[in-house]
Amino acid sequence: MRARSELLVIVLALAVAAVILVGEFAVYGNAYHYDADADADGNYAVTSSGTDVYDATLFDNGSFEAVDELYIYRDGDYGSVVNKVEVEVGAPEMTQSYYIGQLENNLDYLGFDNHKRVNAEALETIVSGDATGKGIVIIAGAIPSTVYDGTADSPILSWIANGGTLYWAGGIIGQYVANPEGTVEDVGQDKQSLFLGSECCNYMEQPKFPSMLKDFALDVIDNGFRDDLSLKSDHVIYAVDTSKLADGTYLSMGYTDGTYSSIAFVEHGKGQVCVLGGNYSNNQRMDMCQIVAAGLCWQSRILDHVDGSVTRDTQEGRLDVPEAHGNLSVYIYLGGYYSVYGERFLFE
Amino acid sequence: MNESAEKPARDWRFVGKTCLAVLAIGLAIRLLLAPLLSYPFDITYWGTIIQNAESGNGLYGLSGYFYTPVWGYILNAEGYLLNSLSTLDLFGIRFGDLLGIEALGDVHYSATVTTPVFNMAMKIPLVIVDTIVGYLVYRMVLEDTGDGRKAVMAFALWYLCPVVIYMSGVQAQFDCISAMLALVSIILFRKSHWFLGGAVFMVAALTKFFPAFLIFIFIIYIIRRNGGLKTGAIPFMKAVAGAVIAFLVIYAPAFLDGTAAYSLSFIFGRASDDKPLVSMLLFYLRLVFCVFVILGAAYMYARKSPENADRDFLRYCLLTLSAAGLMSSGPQYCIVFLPLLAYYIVAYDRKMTPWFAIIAFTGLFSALINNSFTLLSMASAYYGWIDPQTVIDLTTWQDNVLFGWRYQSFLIVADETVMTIAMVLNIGFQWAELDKSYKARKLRALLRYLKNFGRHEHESTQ
Repeated sequence: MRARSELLVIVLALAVAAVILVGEFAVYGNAYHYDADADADGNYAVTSSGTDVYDATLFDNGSFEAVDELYIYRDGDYGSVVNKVEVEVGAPEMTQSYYIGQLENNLDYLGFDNHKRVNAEALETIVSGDATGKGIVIIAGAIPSTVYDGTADSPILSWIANGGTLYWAGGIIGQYVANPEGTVEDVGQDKQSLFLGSECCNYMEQPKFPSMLKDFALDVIDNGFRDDLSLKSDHVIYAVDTSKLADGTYLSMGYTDGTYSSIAFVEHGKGQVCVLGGNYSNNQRMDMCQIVAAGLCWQSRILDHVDGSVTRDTQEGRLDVPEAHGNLSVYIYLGGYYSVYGERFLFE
Repeated sequence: MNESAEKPARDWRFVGKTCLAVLAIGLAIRLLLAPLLSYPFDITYWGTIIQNAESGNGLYGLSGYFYTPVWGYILNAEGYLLNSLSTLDLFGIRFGDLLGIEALGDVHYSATVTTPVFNMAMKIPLVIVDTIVGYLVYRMVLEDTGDGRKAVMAFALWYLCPVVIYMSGVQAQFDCISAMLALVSIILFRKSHWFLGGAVFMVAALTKFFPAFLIFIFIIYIIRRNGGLKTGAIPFMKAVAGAVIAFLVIYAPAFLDGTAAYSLSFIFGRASDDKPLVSMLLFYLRLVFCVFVILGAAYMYARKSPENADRDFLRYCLLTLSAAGLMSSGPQYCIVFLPLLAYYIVAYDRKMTPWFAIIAFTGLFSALINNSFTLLSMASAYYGWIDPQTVIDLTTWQDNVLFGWRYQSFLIVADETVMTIAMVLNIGFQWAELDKSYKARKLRALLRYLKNFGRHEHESTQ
């Protein structure tokens, strides 16, 4: 190839090298910076070093104190009940460990970094202490015998009733007790009523191949939460039918098949249980992180919401705060359905 | 070196009217399709990859990226440029009206649809790469044959190739980048740029793994080109140094944050998919055949005399890439060898043209069938041209089952069978022209007969 063309090829090779180096910087070089701020008057500011959509939502959480400490249960010695799920070619298998690792990374960038993994023993200690402002995540499909024995006297139920929040995903809540030998005991699906007050969970037989499971909600629950929080998971297996609960004791959001809701917060004494429908999925995990980061509860109401765009700048605005309100939270996040940053602000 | 390579006749220059016409037609088709049709499943992942990096989780900290790092870096370089210079703030939206498509239970059907602007941002760089590859093929043919008309034909074969147009203009797959990098490494080695050639080869291999199989041909070429093991050792070491440094630069961050293992999950994921027994057997049969061809090509090439080794370098690269591109079933994988096949057709064997067309069109049909009516999601969601329920109904129709198979599956199997046969024959036809051994003469004759669609051809001395 002539000298000019040879030079072009060399330049092309160097251009490829430059693109790769820019890409590496963008990926690993802390290239992006975000910030957000809000005050009790509803004033907010959101900053991005790039260009992003943002959502700022003002919630009234009634008398409930938002979860500020989160404990993620994981104990490899205790039994669990986890259904195999289909993943895309090349994707890692969606195991409990993998899910929890993803959950932690996701919570961090949404501004909720006060989380910790706990085993069955540590969980026992947690549920024997103060419950207010604390949350426990269980995705094992079974609750360890250190805190639950299938009866109404179980420590975890008392803890929830005293103000704690249990986030549950995978399986019918309360059906299985996990034992330290790695086994589980089936105490019956009716035990869901210990947590939810009623038998209201969606049960479906698991088919031979995960792809054969027809578990989809085709409608959006039209109360604003799905849009304002960019909720994604439309699966409703194991989800809650809130029509079987007393009015005013629950909040559903996300998607519905007409009966079950992909996300439901259910009052339990002074605390609450939050059930996310579906087997493991990335969308479910992202939804869980959004609702934890936003500090939601069964009493939450959207007071105001603003969305917009911020481009290498700071955008300011104001959310309307009514005269009378309960505990307030402002949750701001960037990126919409492709969230990249979040932060919440709590006010009384 | 051909004198005419410097300045072909006016009509056959790259900026001559014929080439510009080809360029204009190819660009027009791509830019027309790009904002109209998109495959949500793939492009939403490109958005996720950028999102994960923007959230501070690197390439592998959050689920969404399963390849070796290069494509992730390229995407994020684009993302960085977009963040620095544009106002592209929204990647995509989850449309409630399209949820029914997910209810069909195929992981490839998604109600999350990326925006037209984001889609264009992903596709335009690929269109540019298509053009660069076309130019490289043009220059290679011009230099080696001195014939500007042939050079333009090779450019046209590549640039107007249906599956190439589809992959950059519609599906936004990055196989053209892999093809470009493989070509650049080949050219650099031909020009004795050992270090840079080795580095670009490694980048190519870490973009999609198909070019990695060129390693055997490259090693033999470097050594023979430089007069044997003794005198070839230093150029070889330069190439190795380039490859190693490129590897370290690319992989260092993933090693440091402990996520490097995730970068191989796509390769091993394909190999270990839960498939029915027949599919697994066919998969391994295919793999064994391809490995046999790749190693056989290296063996044949190693036995060539040094002057023939230089002359046949491109042909053995083509044979190797033809086998590599066959290893995994997927309509886009043929793109890695199509540039060299275009070169080969105009430089050596015009009779391969129909086979090029068969591969190109079966690749296109396979992609269309695979992507199916989800291609209409963007037009439905953002332009309102098609009712979302229509998209769902059409996709549901193709999911109807006949004798236990979906309608779509029938079409895919039929099309991919033809494509696979064409790709296997492509390998066979090339081999028949490269292997002059006496004992294979009957097989060669049969292959030539097939290549000519039943017309007999005498063995050439080429």
